[in-house]
Amino acid sequence: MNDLDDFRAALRQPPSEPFAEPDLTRIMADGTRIRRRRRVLTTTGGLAAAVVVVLVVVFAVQLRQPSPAPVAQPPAPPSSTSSVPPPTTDGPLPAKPLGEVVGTGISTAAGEVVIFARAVDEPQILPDIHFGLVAGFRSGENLEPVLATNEFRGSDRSFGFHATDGGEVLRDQVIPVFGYFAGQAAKITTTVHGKTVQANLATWTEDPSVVIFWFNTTDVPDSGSLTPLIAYDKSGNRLTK
Amino acid sequence: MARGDDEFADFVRASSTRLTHAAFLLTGDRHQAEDAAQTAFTRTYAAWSRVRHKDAYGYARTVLMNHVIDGWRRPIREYATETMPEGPDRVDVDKAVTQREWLTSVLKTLTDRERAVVVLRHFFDLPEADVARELGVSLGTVKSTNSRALAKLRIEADTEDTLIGGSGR
Repeated sequence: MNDLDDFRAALRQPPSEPFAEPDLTRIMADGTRIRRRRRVLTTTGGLAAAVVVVLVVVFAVQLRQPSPAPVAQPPAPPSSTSSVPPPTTDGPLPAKPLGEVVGTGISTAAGEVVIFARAVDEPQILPDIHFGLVAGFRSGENLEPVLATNEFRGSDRSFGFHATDGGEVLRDQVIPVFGYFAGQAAKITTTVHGKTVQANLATWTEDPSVVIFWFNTTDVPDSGSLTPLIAYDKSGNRLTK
Repeated sequence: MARGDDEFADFVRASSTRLTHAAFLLTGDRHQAEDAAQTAFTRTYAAWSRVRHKDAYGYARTVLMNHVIDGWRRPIREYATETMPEGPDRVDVDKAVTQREWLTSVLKTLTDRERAVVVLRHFFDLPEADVARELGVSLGTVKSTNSRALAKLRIEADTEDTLIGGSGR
């Protein structure tokens, strides 16, 4: 036996007293909470068609009713789509895009991966959450939502990162890790396997203080490999710990 | 219990000792190790539907490593030195207690990266190429870091490449 064998044996020697068993109940509860942050939309073509219908109807309604003088409005007024009959689907539906749809430039067989904001209206459960993000595919006029996510604690615009999700294969395509930062971030980075990588950024057109970000799938293959995100302002000063 | 939960519970039971042990080697602290394992299992559970039929253990190990490495990046940390530590010239492996104490003390002399390489290479038995992939560094870096770590530990490693892992290319 050489020294390396001794060392390996020492590494594998059981501890003097056993480690505490993981708390399975808590693991499942906390894991479930993480899962709840994401809602994977399961319907495909029908859903995409339904969203297009919603967009057309909402647009038509807005044309008939001239918009009032500009006043401060909440980002996701609960009544904004109340005149529209809800599409008939069992799955959770993202509302119409709030603000412009952000193209990521990532091309897939299902179309370009896009990210957009959607209204969240769950005053009983999420009183301070008014919007979330949706990742999906855009092909011509069609917008196919795939993964919807939103903040689920506190306020949707409290300073910092929110709704980070993605980094998984859905509909046979890789959805990049994405999310948003509430604050004036000019650069967002993370570290994957010791390498610092930078996110792509787009300012949300509905609220310029919100920055939507996403990582290239080659840089960040899945959310599990992320370390905490770091935001910097335009002077390069770190905004987050 | 939802579908797949029984399977996950079995997975936790089967792998918790080893993963917690690895976390302990990385952190040198039982409580931190148990917390790290708890976190790794929580994130693995959140992704269970995706990873259960793939390499769930590998996924949990990666999450664990990232979690611990992230902890090292936080302000409270110890900074190791490149200086060779004063220590015993030979490993005393006669007694388990002595061995444990020796191990705990010598691992503290390693830098974070050296410790990570040592644990992945010699505890998890990963080939050097896999260690490089896991840590996002080059194969050469893994080789040199491993050599430096073993030198610090006063471990003869000249036969390692031919004996272990089959990856000493």
